[in-house]
Amino acid sequence: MDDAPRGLRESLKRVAVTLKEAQIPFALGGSYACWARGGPEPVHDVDFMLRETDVPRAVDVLCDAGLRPVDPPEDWLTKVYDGDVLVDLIHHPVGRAVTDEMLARSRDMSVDSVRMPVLDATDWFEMTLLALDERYCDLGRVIPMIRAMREQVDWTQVRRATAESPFAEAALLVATRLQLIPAPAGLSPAGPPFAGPPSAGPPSAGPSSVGLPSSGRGSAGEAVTTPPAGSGAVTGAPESASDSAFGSDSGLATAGQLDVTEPAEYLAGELRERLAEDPRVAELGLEVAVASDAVIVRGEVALETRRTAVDIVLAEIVPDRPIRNQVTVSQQEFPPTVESVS
Amino acid sequence: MIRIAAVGDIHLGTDSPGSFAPCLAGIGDLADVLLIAGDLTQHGSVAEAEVVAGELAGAEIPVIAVLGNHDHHGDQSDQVVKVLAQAGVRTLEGEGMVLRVGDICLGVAGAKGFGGGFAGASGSDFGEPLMKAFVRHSKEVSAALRNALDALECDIRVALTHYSPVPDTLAGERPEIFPFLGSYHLAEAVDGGRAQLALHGHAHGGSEKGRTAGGVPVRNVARPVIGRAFALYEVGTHDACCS
Ligand SMILES: [Fe+2]
Ligand SMILES: [Fe+2]
Repeated sequence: MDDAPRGLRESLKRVAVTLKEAQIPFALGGSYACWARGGPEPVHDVDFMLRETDVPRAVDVLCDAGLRPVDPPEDWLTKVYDGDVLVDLIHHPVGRAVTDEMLARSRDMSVDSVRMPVLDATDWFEMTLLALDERYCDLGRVIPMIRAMREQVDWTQVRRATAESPFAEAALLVATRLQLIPAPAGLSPAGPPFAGPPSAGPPSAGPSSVGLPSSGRGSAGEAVTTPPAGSGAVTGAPESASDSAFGSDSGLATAGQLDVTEPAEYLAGELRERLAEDPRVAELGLEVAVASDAVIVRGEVALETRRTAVDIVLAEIVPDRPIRNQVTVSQQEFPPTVESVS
Repeated sequence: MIRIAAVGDIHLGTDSPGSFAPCLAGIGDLADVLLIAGDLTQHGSVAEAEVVAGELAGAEIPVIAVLGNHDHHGDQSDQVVKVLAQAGVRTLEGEGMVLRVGDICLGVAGAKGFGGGFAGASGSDFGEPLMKAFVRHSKEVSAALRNALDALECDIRVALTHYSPVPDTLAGERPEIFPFLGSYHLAEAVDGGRAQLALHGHAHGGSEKGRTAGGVPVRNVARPVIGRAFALYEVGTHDACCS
């Protein structure tokens, strides 16, 4: 269907105009909301979000406008056909009711020349990430959407709202590592590790936050600042914790003052070397990232004193930069188990 | 059958007194010997070696160690070895020792080992003097391990190194740094020297279990990998007693 998008858009506009004229509150959702906000154009799926109480009236006015109702077995949406095009009227996306507040957060945008409320980008990502599950977790679809909408989203809120979902956590981790979205901000010193167990959930911005501003839960458009591509740099890797001296023994790093104005990649590399070489820390497996707003350190050390020494050492080298110390102290001691090897 | 407790990369510093000794309480009920696969200290200083000695002195069983790269960082590995010896910790470098446990002789051959990489992705004894020195050091310590294994008169042979003989136990580390984590020459020594078990550390982000091409089980006992104060292995007699 070469003209699928065109047909879909016509149906989308017809439904939106009909609902608007009937003064039924709604918001454009699904992949067309993403499209309206700069994402890829979908080839199927027209989704509208409505309060459950408004759905019967919406179906009535749409039928009056010539659409055909379908009563699907699902209990979280209903459907209407406009010719060949299926339009979803969703009242309980990912099990959560569409509320007045959610509709109020949506923003009037021009969608293919028709103005209509479009779901808030933060709400949109909460739903999209929570919809990922074991059979449907194609990050290849999600990442382009994050790329397209990232500046419009309050990622702290998304992390908070999707904390229980390992699939959401995975998507957010990938996006963070690709530096598409800010790393979790405001880890308290005792907080969970950067990629903590799902039960711990992603950290939320707390009073000790030194990092990324978290916007209020406002309308879309104003959101968390994302470091521009290339403004951050990471050395080391969270999975790689070896104590090989590789990359850690440059004479430069101990030669004296660091040039803290140099590009972030080099600064991150040298800070990592300093942490490896400074006797107070002497940890070769730490990962250092230099973001536009802070120096972030992750990894694991054996003792609390070495964890606090990370702050002390970095404060000496880059006193003007906030330090986000996400280093954890390894404590896990499992009871001994015996393996028979011959 | 011999019960071996093993750990590597305990990385004790002058800030660590009292942190490891409690983990060893009662170890005599669990194991016949404790093998330590290097990186006992953070920087290889005498002060740190004294901490290590203090923490290990109370072990109820023989303690045998090899040094790791961290233990060499202070350029005073001889003194580190001496301090450890005063606490009864035997440090092996291209040497072996035999312990009698009941009626079984356990032979442990130890060497720090070195990097260099694994078959198909390894450094060569070629080019700049530093590069040649790097690869030669790896070959020399591997040859020393082989000789130490060959010299053991015992029922069970165990190879103890800091660096890894195989890439299997590095899984989890970035492949780019494998050549800094171990060398296949060590595996050649393990196989050629007919070890029944090879223990190593160094790769904190690696994984516990692997095997040499010759089928010898390899265990990465770096403390962050095993997640406990020591791992326990039971090794049975392989063939008739030769001593
Ligand atoms: Fe280590
Ligand atoms: Fe090491």
